[in-house]
Amino acid sequence: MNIYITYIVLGLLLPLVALLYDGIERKMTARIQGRVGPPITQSWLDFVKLLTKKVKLPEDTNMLMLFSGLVLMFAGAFIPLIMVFMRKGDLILLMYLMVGGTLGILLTGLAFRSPYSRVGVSREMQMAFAYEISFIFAIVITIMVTGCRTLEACSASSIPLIKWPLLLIPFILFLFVAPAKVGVVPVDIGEAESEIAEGPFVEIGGRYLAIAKLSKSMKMLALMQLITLLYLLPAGVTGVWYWIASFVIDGVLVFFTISVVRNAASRIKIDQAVKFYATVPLAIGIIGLVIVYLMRGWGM
Amino acid sequence: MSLWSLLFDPENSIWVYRINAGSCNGCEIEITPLFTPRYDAERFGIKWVGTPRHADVVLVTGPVTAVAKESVMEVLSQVPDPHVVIAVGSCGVSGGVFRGSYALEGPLDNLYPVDLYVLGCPPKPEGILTALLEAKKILKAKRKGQYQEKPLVVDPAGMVMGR
Amino acid sequence: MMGFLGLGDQWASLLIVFPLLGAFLIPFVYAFVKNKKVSAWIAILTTGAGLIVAIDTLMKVLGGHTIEVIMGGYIPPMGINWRIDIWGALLTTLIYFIGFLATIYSMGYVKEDKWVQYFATMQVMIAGAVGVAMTGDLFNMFVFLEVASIAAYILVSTEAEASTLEASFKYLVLGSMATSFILLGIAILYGAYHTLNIYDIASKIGAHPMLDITAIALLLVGLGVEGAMFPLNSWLPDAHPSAPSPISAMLSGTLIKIGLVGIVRVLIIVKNTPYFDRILLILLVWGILTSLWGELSALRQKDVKRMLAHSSSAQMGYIVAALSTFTPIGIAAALMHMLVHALSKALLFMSTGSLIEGRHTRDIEGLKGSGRNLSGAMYAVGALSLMGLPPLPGFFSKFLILVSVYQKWGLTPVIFILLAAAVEIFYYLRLTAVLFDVGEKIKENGYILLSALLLGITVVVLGFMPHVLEHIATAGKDTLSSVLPYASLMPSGSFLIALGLLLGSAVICLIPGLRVVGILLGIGAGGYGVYTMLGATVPAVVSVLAYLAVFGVAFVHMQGDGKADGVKDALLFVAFASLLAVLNTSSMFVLLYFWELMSVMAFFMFLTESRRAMSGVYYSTMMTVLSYIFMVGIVALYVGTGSYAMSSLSYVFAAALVGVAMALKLGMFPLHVWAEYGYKEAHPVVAGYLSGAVSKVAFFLLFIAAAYATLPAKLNYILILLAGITVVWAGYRAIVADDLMGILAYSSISQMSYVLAGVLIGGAAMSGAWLHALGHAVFETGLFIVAYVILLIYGTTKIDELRGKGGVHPAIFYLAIVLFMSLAGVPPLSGFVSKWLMYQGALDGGFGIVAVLMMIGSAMSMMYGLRFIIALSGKPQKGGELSIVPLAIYSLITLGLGIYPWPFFEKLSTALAPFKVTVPLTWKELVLGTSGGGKYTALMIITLFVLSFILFLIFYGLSAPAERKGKVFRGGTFYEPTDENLPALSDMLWPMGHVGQYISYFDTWHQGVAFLTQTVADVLRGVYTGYLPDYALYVSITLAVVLKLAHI
Repeated sequence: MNIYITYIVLGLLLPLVALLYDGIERKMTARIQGRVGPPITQSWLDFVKLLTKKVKLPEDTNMLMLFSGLVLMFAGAFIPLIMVFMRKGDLILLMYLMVGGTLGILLTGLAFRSPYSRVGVSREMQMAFAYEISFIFAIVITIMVTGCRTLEACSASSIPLIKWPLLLIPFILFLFVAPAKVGVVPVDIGEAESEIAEGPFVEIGGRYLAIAKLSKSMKMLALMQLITLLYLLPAGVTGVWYWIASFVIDGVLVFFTISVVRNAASRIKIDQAVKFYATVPLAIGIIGLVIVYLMRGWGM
Repeated sequence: MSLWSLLFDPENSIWVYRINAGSCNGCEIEITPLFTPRYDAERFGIKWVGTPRHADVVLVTGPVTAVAKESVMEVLSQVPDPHVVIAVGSCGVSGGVFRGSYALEGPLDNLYPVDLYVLGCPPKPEGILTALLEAKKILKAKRKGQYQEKPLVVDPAGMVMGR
Repeated sequence: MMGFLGLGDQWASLLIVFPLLGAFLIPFVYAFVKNKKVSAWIAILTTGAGLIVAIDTLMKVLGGHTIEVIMGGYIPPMGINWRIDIWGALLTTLIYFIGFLATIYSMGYVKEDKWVQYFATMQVMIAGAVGVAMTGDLFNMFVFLEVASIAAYILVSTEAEASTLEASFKYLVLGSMATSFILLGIAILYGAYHTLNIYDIASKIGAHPMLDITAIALLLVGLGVEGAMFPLNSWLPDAHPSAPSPISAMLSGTLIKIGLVGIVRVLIIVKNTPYFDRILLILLVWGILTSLWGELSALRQKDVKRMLAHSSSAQMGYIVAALSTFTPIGIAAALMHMLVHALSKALLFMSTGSLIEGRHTRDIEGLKGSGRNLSGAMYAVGALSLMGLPPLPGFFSKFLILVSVYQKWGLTPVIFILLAAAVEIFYYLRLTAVLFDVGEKIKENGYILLSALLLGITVVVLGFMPHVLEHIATAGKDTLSSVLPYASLMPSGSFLIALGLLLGSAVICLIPGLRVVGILLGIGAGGYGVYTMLGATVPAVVSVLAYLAVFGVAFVHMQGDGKADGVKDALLFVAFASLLAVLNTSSMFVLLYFWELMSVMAFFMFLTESRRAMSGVYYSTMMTVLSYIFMVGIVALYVGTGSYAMSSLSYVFAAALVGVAMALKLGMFPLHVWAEYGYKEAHPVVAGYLSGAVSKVAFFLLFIAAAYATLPAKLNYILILLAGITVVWAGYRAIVADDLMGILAYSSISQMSYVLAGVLIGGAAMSGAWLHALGHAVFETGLFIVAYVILLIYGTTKIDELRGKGGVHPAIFYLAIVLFMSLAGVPPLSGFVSKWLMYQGALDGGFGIVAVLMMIGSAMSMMYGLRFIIALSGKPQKGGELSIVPLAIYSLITLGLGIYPWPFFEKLSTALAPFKVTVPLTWKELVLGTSGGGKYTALMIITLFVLSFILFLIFYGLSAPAERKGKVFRGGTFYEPTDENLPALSDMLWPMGHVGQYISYFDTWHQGVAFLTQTVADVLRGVYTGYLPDYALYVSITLAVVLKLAHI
């Protein structure tokens, strides 16, 4: 019973926190650019505004696909968010749920017969494949180094000091993955506002868009918290300090991986992105695996 | 700003979409700086979107030429309610220097109900910004179901005329 | 006729009297009665009478009695005697049988004005051949050989054209050289030992080694010319085609065998000498060289009779190889293959002769499409028998040859024999595909058809009576039952009823109008068959998996799409019956038999559509190569452990061979290239059956190989790594495929590689592999069914042609999405659970690289699955609604097992318990954690899903409703975004395609191998220059070589 109450409370609160982080990120971006920027509650306001709009959809929309795509997108961001904050669940399951979220985006894009959304789907698909490689390497190396498969074990892990540098490699890989997965410039090619009119989301508005934006923010927060939990949170932190430390570190991470990156470059092309993600992180991942195997061979 | 306006007031989130209905691009050049650090429209919650279906406010620049008329009408029909249409620049008000040309289908209000005019050729960014802020109020009224009858006019420097 | 007229064994001399009498009577009678037909009747009469005596002789010999006929009352070794042992009796019966049928055949083939000389000469040839077979005296043998040869020379040029006369002349010159050598050899032996009797010489030999060896070499070379050994067979490719078809049948079927029998007599002579083993080794190498050269030469022939002639010499190579072992099994193998080859080759020549008569050309391309009649069916019987495929007798003889050669000489000769056999499979299948193509009908002559039919029926019946084969081959001693446990081939009990029902429903499918009834009956019978197996364990699980797939494709095929639908269904049910028989046995021999039968059925399924026939040829050739590895494993099993029981697979070498063969059959890199022909080019129903059912049987065999024998760790690791590479490689090929079937083909390989890796990794991955096998049978077959619906509605499955169209019924579309999500591994469907388990197992076992490869493969599966779905997302169309039933069942299964997989795992753990494989999954273990620590907390996932859904609905409800009107946003452009001109789809995967184009290029390596083989074949057959002095030179060179080798 307790657990279900926790689920419900977290389930109602965490999406709001995610939107807050989205607003914080926009504020940080604005400050970097020398602007004042919107208030940090801006994402909440956007969300509410979207709920008040009457939506117009094209007449040949595939409603079931749209609906299922949105549900999948939402669930694929919501469930990992709850799992990560509650520190319960399997790592690989988490990864697959987030992949399911991407699948939701693709299904949403497929619901419309618009060239923009189709191009968006194609590019999102390729981007997803490209950064999934890094994600996979990061998770597998983490599992092999720490020996933990679930979030409970990883968060309270007691890894010997000698292994901490080893975790640097998956951490770097996650840093590569984060902007692409969250969908920020320079690698948000699937949802490019100017090139392809926001890609899969070109036709949706109102409440559908609200859910899509919410899912995006939740995804960002879930990913940040995952990185924190796996690599940045010292072991043994519990209770109130756990929440405070998590949120602070999440904020810092958001700053570095999202805001700074977003302002550093403009959007790159899809072939550049795929070639990059299929080479550099792949190489790093293979080096990491090799090092792990070597260390195992040396009995560590 | 009150807690209400910080947290729950939908009026503080305005998403803008631009249609170029045959403009000379002068107004575009004035709209673009709105999101740069000098004018920073984002602090008012104004955001630029790439598709009409996300938009609350539509900025239409230029007189509506015959070539562009069909696209403009179609795009305008794709904007969800409640929305505000702003005609930017003298072309949108009266046809500007192109008035009476054979290539025009008339300034925008011959084709679609316009809620705000921004005068100037081109208008200054402050003017456009004022128009956007006025649009907030109009949107609020539209949300409540009260729509205004008389469109407002904003002069190039940002003063609302008739008030 | 033992004591008839008190003549005893002397009756056997009638075997010479009858044909000589006929030869005399025919022209004699013609001198008075100017009716040519009388000649034919006399010939038939004498041959028929001789046949009766021959059969009687054979019976007596099989009863254990070696007949001895003494000529003229002179006692051997002074006088000439005939000693009829099993070789002689069998060959004589064959000569008479084929001669009898050839005589009838000739009545329809040869022009009537030649009948007198033709039949008379044929009688002389029969007489000569019979004499060689039966005699026990060397010089007598020489005389009869000359008689037969001269008759043959004449008969070759029955139709007097330039080419036949030249062929006859070559045959004459080379044959004369041969008999000169033989005479010289006999003379040397006589000079040394003063006797001409074979058995007498055998007892006396050894006193003069140098003379002996010289004489033996001369005899071998001389007999080799007649026996079609390489390179002495240079007359063969000219003579056999030039002769009229009945004579070709006699030449290839029987006359070559007398050379073989002569070699047997030579071996009898030298049996007790010290250099016997050296002679046997020479024979082995010679035999293998002959077979390899013959098959490769046949590969490139465009003249069908030349092809068959080269094939004859190659088959003689096999028989000689078997003979070179000189063990009881080897001799039995040689006898059996002599019998089978004689009948089959004669049948081939007769049936192709009918086709040649109908089309008036011997060119293979010219015969295209002429085989869709009884002659073609007879051709197919003969070809299948020679290829060694069940249910024809060639299977038993070929298997015996392999066992005997392996037992005596080891693995290397077996590999060469199988290489040659693989080439043979290719060109016979290619000819079958050409003949069964579409073409104009031919007229068939009644006599021709009658004789071909009789011979064909004999071959087929012999295939179903292996005890007769055994009885003959062992000269009545019946000692082969441990090597060839054919008795266990017969299924029993309720399983037999199920098989009978399946075969019955197959027949009903062939009746037009009753096809749907037949399909429903077949589905029911299949279910009953699975039900009868439910007592067994692992095979029962596999049979359920296979049945799921077969049920789906058969059900949806009720809505047929073409002309040969009934045939396809019939073949499907026969194949499924064979599949169940594979599963229902614990003897590897029976398993091999039915496995090969399944492959034959698969090939014929390809033939039902003429444009897919060549793909079927390529596919079947590649599959046969893999089956041969399997066969070597089973041969090794028997030779190594002495039994065929499945439990003796603990003999690691055999298990490793079986395991590797099945891994390659599942499509392991780099031999996954057959997927392109097998799955991509096939009809979706056929591909669905192959991918859904046959791959499960391969998986089953791999499992038992891995379960009974602990494969060496290095081999295990290499196989797992290759499986992982295959997952990604095939996944990439699927992403860039241009055809829906191509996507599914490579997807099938990729997913089965997951299963392969899981089985070999063990632990949690083993349970994941089984669940994934079930999932694969379900979602992959489901997608094949969807591809079939697309074929039904649009007539094509190419993505380019479907662009803009491609819509299906909405229910089918949504069910396809569910199946696709299971394929991609989205929780909580079963595809995710199985993949998750395999990752746990891989990480437990420390296979980090493999885990990464599998996960990348999973991401790829999402991509290519999405390509498939996108191709389906056009405007909904009617059509294919029948598929909703199986698709719905499949979706329910995959969803149910994803949420609640435990019942499956419980059944699985009882099934796997005998193999000491633990399935580490009870309810508690899954929720509380596997040994490695992973947890599939289904309950939490479901709760959170429900919660998210509720939240979603809250947001939904809080907001304003939507209206649908208007078109999609298209900016300022004017083009109407219809489906045809969406440019995005053509470039959909543009960067991916460029990144990995080398992968697609690498996969064409098999074409390089084919090209290399063809080039080698062209070089090899350049030996046959057509220039007679060259041929004579070859004979001399061979003599020199044999002499040198024998003297070492």
